[in-house]
Amino acid sequence: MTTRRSVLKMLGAGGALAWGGGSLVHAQGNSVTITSLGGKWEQSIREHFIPLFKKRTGAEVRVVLGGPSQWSAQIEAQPNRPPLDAVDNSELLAIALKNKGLVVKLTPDKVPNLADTPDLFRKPFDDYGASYQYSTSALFHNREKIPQAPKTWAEFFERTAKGEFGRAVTLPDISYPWAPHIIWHFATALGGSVDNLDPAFDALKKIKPYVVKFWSTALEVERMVISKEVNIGYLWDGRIIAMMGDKNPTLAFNRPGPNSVVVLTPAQVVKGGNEKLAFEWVNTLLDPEPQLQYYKLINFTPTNRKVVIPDDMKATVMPLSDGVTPPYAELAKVTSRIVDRWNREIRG
Amino acid sequence: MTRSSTDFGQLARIVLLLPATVIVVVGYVLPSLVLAAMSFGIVPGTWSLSEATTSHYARLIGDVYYLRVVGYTLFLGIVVSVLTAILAFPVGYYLARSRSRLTSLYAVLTFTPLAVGMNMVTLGWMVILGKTGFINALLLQTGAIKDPLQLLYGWGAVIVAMVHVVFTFMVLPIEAVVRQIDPSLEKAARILGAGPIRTFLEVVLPLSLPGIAAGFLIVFLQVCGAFVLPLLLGGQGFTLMPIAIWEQITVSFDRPFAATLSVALILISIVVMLVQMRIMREKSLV
Amino acid sequence: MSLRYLSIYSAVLGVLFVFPLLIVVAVSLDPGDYIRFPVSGYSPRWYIEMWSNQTIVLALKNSLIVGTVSSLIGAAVAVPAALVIARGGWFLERVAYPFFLSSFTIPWLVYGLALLFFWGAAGFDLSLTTLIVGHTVIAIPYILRVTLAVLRGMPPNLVRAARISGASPWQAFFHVTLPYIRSGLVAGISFAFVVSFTNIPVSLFITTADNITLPVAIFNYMVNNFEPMVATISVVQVVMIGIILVTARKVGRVERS
Repeated sequence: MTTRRSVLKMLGAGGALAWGGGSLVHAQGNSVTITSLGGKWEQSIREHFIPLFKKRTGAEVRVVLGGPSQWSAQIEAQPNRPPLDAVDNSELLAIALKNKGLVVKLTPDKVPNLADTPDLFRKPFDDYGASYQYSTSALFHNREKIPQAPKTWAEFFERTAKGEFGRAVTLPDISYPWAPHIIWHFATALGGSVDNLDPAFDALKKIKPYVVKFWSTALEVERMVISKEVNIGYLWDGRIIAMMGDKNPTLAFNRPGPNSVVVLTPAQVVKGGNEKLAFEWVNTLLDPEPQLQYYKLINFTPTNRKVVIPDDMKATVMPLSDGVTPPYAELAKVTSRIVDRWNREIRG
Repeated sequence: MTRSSTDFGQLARIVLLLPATVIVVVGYVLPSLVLAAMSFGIVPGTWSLSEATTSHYARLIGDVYYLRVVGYTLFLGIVVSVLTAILAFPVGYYLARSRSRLTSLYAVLTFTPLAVGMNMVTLGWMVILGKTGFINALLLQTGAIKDPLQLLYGWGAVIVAMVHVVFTFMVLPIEAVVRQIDPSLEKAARILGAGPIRTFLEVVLPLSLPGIAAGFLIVFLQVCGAFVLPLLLGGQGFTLMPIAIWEQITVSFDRPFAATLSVALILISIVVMLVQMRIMREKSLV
Repeated sequence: MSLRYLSIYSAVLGVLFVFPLLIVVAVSLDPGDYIRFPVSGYSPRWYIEMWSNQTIVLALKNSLIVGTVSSLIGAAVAVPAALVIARGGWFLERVAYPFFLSSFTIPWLVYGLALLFFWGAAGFDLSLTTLIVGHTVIAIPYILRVTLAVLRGMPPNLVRAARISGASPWQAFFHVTLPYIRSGLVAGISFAFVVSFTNIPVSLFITTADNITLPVAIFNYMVNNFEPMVATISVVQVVMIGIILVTARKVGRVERS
């Protein structure tokens, strides 16, 4: 029977539990709070990077799952006592944080491995962030249904618009955070620029009837690939490579010309956090040993020059000269308009 | 003025309402004010009123696209709520009245979609409705169709999956309310000659309206706020408010506009809630 | 009404609802690297591996704590409020009641964002406690709504009779009102618990290393990894909730005299 005493007891127990697991004193000293995507990414962070970090510093590592927009929002909300010490950010958000003075510049004395990280991965952020891996745009296709893959993006759009692939195509949706990058890339590959995105939108409008779904998460496109609902589509090289193999013998990929857009994950040190350990963490991320392990698990290409990719995997790595990155500052300015335009013209 | 022996004195009333008031003010009203401030362009941190602007609202009202998003959201909310109410009532009634041992089993079965949460319901339906999924496999095998059907990525998939997830929200209040209805009322109606349908319409239904209304409101608001499910199961043709808000936050990084959209959604929900309460009051049986 | 027909109807609906979940269970046993249908094989591999994942274990613990505490505190504040509002009065019905229900109306995704900025502005670190406050706020309307619906159906003479017989207001509450509303209250607490346990959007923006909850952990996995373990963790989530709900149902059963 519910008596007053039993109700109060329940509340008391609940209260004790809550306070026990409640506010943690913001841990300085011997622990660092870093970020990771969930799943395989977290696995790699824990198996490849954290052990090396612990060996070098003896410090504890706390991992926050989520995504760049959540992490950046948290850093912005608490500028004086940031809940994160280091963050794996997206390019546009990395620059936003830099402009707001919320992150610290990386220097070779604090982050020695910077010296072996090519400029492409740090200069766009003025060294306020450095990317430890990169992925490139690619097309996957079913080699049985589509023996001849498009060699350029223009060819891809043309053939799709003619209906050659049927209603079995997928491309990223505007709700995917890197959509603006991708639209910029399509525009430039089709003759436009960051100020003239018409070629991209025109092409997208023409192929719209053949798109099964514009995907907003990797989950969706991978599902469509595995259940063979699409015969051709857009996805990052690393993810496609991870899916290929015995289980998916018909899956193939290529990188249409003239070039591929490169997506980076600039790792940053948050101002006001445990900066000393955060620098050390970023240094670990840029270290060649764990990067190679990461590459073997996840297939996203490491950035440290010293990484030696095994011969049997070399073929799929893209030479950096084929890669382009968007002009981030200009792209940031037009992103909102891109979203609106997509809503009006593609979602219509 | 006579006071009933069951009335609360002023002081008692205040004491009883105080804890809830404090929590709602601190945990909801204040954060909502922060949100409202953001929708007017004020940045938390600097809090300078000079930056205040109505430009975000102007943008929302002036853009047909967003007005349509509002429309789609309301439409989905109503369709799912009505459908769920119709499907759930018999189950709620049954769980309240039945004495069989299977009742516990049925109760657990209807709880499970809610317990699993949107993540898994979404994934389950993706696997069932996909082109190589269960339904298509079955139809192809039996020869009913030649090519797989496109079942996913449309209103149908979203509605079906949403009804699935929110079902429990409708069953529980209906069951609770039906339990309070004295079964002898129904027996009396039958003895006086009313058929089962008439008994239902004139005895059971009116008495269970508070439960149905409670369920309807909860379901409607859940649907209006749903984001994971429509994102993964919905198609191109329509966008819903929560997805639009998510996009503004994660793609456009336009937090003020996201705040504006959110305030709009809150206002709509409040209006719906007040309308529903007014309808209930008119049919009320206090 | 013929309970037999209703029983059949409920059974059919029950099967339809459980079906997608059975699919998920099947997927959870697939030892392969990606989710496929038909499933590539059966093995308890992920059920074993998931427990060595410290994030998952922490998330599970957090979800249990947050769910329990927020729904109980929600009940502790909502029931007194319901008692007062049930007595009626213009102000209570038209102003106070909608006020308490208002947290119903905020879309969770945005509430999470609002909480993030609010706690930041107020100077509190994000933690399990800040999460519990958020979940309690969203629990209150559910519990209030259902309790009130049940209270309104309660014959006023019950309490009057007890008071006339000499019971104090407290005694009248504990011995008359509370047993009467018990099943409704338990229903309200149950769904507040489940709402909290399965809630993703409120928690998304205020998740840190220590307060991550199970559905958020699953969501983070799922959007980036189309793997069977996502299904496995979700099955465990269902089982947990199922156990708690069945227990609650037993507690809530009202004996008819």
